[in-house]
Amino acid sequence: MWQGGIVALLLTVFGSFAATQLGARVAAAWHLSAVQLHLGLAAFWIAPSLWICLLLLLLPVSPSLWMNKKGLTR
Amino acid sequence: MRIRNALSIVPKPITLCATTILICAPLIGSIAGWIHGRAYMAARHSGGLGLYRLQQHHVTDLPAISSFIGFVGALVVGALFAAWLLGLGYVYADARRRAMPAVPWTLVAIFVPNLLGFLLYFVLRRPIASPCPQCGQAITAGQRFCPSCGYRAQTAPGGLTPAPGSST
Repeated sequence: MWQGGIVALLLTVFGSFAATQLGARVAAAWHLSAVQLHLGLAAFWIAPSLWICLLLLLLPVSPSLWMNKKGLTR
Repeated sequence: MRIRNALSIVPKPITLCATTILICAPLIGSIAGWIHGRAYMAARHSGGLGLYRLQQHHVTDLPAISSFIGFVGALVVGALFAAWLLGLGYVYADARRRAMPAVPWTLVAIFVPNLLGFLLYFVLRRPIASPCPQCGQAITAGQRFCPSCGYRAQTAPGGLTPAPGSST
């Protein structure tokens, strides 16, 4: 399970970097506001990605939060 | 072999759509590149582009080069898009055979950025479900009774085995 978290972290870092670079090029080509484009990317691309990444990293430890020793939900 | 097995469960319309994109994208890219090259050549001959006037003696076949670049670029983009489409088809079909909600998982794979929707699906997917001997509804490995008809079944490592003398 933790391998999934590591892969998610790598995908988040490289994917967000690529999206930011592409966003900057698109903003320059279409004469858009670079600040607004970066804010949009941060809100709709990087933040959800980081949340999913955090979820995947916390999944291996999460069952202890809502299950007892017999594996039943509280 | 594993890729072929995985592709065999992708719905036929999705496979057809991905193949069409893979075939059409390079053609469109090469035509667009040719037109782009012709436009540059026309602008260069009319003296509109100073930069290209300097390169006039070196680049004699600009439309063909531009067409080739367009072909390769569109082939790469088309292949990536076709692979993404096939991945979505696989998630949809695989979620169905694992008795998971197929449409929500496909939407997750579409909208979660950086391909993390696919990763989330592969981490959280259930074991492959077996059909109920009585009603045909999918029963996952952890279920002892059919959720549809209540048929009692014992799960074994090899798959679903019906319990003797039990029908409800």
